[in-house]
Amino acid sequence: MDSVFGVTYEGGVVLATDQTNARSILVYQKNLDKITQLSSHSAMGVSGPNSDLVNFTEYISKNLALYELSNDGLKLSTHAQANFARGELARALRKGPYQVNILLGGYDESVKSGGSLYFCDYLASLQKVNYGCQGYASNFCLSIMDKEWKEGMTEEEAIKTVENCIAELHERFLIAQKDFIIKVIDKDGVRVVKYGQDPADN
Amino acid sequence: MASSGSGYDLSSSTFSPDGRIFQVEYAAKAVENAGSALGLKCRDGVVLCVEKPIPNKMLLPNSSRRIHTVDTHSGVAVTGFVSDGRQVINRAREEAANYFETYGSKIPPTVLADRMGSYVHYFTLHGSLRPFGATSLLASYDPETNDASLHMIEPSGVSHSYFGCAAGKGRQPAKTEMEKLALHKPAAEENITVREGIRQLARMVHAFHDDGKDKP
Repeated sequence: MDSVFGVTYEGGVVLATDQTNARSILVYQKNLDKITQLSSHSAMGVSGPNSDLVNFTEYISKNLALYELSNDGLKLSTHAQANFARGELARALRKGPYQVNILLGGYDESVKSGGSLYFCDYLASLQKVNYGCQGYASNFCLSIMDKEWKEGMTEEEAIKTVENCIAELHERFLIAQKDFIIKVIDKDGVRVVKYGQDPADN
Repeated sequence: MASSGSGYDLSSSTFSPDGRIFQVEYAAKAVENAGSALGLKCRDGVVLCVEKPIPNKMLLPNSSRRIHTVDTHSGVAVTGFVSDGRQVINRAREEAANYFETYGSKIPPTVLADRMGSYVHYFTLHGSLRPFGATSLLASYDPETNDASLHMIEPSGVSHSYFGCAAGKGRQPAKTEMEKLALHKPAAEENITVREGIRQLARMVHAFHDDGKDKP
């Protein structure tokens, strides 16, 4: 039921998710931040039960932190992080699977356009994409991204596309998801662009 | 070295009263008397060179390789007990393959050197194992930083990154010669290229070779 989508642009990547935390017919929470920061220049938008979301993202982000501590500050590229996350999903798949679908976005100096986005579903299929969606959102948003994405697009254009996707979901998606959180990852790291509800635990 | 082990040199899990582990030092001795291995970090890559004595006329010159491929971006030259070296190289290959399976990218040179150092060091920790009598020179390229590097892993497990390093018989004169080369000038264009490095190392190996010291 979660909507997760992302768009790469020249110099970074935008990630967006809805903020609803619900199971079946009950809404637990309306200000959940489903985009977890993994390292200084990467983050993961996650869809799935909250338990697996938290368990999986903490496991991956702490392992990435351990790598940096063990290897004298060496950072893992977004590509390496995505492959690591996929490997862990694959390992757990035939034991006790993490029921999470993720979109991992990150910024690397050495990558041509800076930003990169990786689609990885709960069966551990990994694919690098220019833009992507997880969940029901795909049915509504992929066509918008197909039309609007182009190589070398700017941050404003990417955010505009994400906002167009959110508008489409508001218009046509049966399940009302009023609030979305949008984050950007670029050379300066991960930052929040906009949120519907303040995710902070007040 | 005049000091005798006298009882403290029987096991690598024993320190001597003056804080030395003789077994590790003896392992280093095994390397000192073997064929030279030299490495040079040039501005556009790393050169490895190994002196390969052919003790027997019946030996096929192309056999017994001394410089080994660890991955598409890494190579290792060994000297000392070459059979010990083979173990270290096999481990390096496993580490590199394993890293690629986990992270989908080539193992960075510093990480590989660290893993090799840890592996070699492990064998100095247990009394039931003997240290490796081999030094490895690792030449490796890092696609992330677009730079190549040279590391040397000694029998003690110590590993450093170098502009130029040498192990084996001719290491003393080789190190002196290397210091005369432009290896670490601040302006990159002033440092020698790989092409020039190959010639320099070949010249050094040839110059410092001593027929009398050839051991089988």
